[in-house]
Amino acid sequence: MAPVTDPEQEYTDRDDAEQSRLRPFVLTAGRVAAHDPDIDLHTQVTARPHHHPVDTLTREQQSIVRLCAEAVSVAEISARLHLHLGVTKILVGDLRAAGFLEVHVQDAVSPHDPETILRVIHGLRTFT
Amino acid sequence: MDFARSPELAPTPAPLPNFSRPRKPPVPVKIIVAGGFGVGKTTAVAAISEIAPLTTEAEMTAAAIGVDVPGAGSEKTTTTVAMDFGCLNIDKTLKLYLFGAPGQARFGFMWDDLARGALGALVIVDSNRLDDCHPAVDYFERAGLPFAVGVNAFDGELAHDLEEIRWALTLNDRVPVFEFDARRRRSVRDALLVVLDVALIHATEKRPA
Repeated sequence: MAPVTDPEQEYTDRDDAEQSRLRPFVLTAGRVAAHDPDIDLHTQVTARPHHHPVDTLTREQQSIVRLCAEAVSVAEISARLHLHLGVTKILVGDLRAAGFLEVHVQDAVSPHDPETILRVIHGLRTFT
Repeated sequence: MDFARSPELAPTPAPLPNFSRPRKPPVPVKIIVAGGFGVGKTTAVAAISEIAPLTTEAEMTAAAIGVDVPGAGSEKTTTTVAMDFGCLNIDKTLKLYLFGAPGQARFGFMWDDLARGALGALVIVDSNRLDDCHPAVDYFERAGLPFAVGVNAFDGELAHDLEEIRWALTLNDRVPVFEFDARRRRSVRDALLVVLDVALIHATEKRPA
């Protein structure tokens, strides 16, 4: 058996692991950090009426557009489609730029707004 | 985790969405649920979430961690961290997300993303393993994020009383320390209400007079 220090052998040993690591970013053409910083984990995303044919999109992109028929968060898209969070943010940003998705960053509320916190408190108290 | 249940990537495409009546999406807010491994973060999220908790994975590279040793070895440190989350509709337009943050120190880089825009954090503590929550406590103190410490009473008994825990974690008097049961919905609700009380005090003090 080849020693672990042999780079080729090491590569073969790790082939599966490498593929599963690299594959997510194949979907984004290798981009790892190009997403819009306004797109947060809990940012809501909805599909927009679009005029471009969706069949020009990749399978993953089409799945995202379908999932967004109802408002969903970026984290939910990532979880339900088994896409890494970073990849999801990039794909969502692309689909937004192409006019397929609306990303509701403007609806974000300040976490320091006492009115918002009071609303959450009042709402949560009704949970029994 | 349970990936078999998600049909969205099935080979037969579902019909495209119907856009005839666009609905305004809810306004999202979030609270972080942090703590060491196996302390009950996912249990707490599951106890109160209106959906079965979902898992998302984030890929982290050496660059993101800030550990980049050029030259020799040059092995990239790539870590995948899993994060469980759930949500509940607070009222018609407000939706609360609960994110279970990976608590280990080496995942600290991920917390900036999590903490941004959060109302506050619940740090869950196992009274037998107090050290496990130090990274989370340190992070929230430095980030200035309002938080409260909930001691998960696994079997109804705590290894230390609450004041000993406060002392061991060097928490100031403004950080609430309380016992709760991560398996019980009402107990988790009350724990979140404590976090929100701290957040409210924080927000009221911050607001310009």
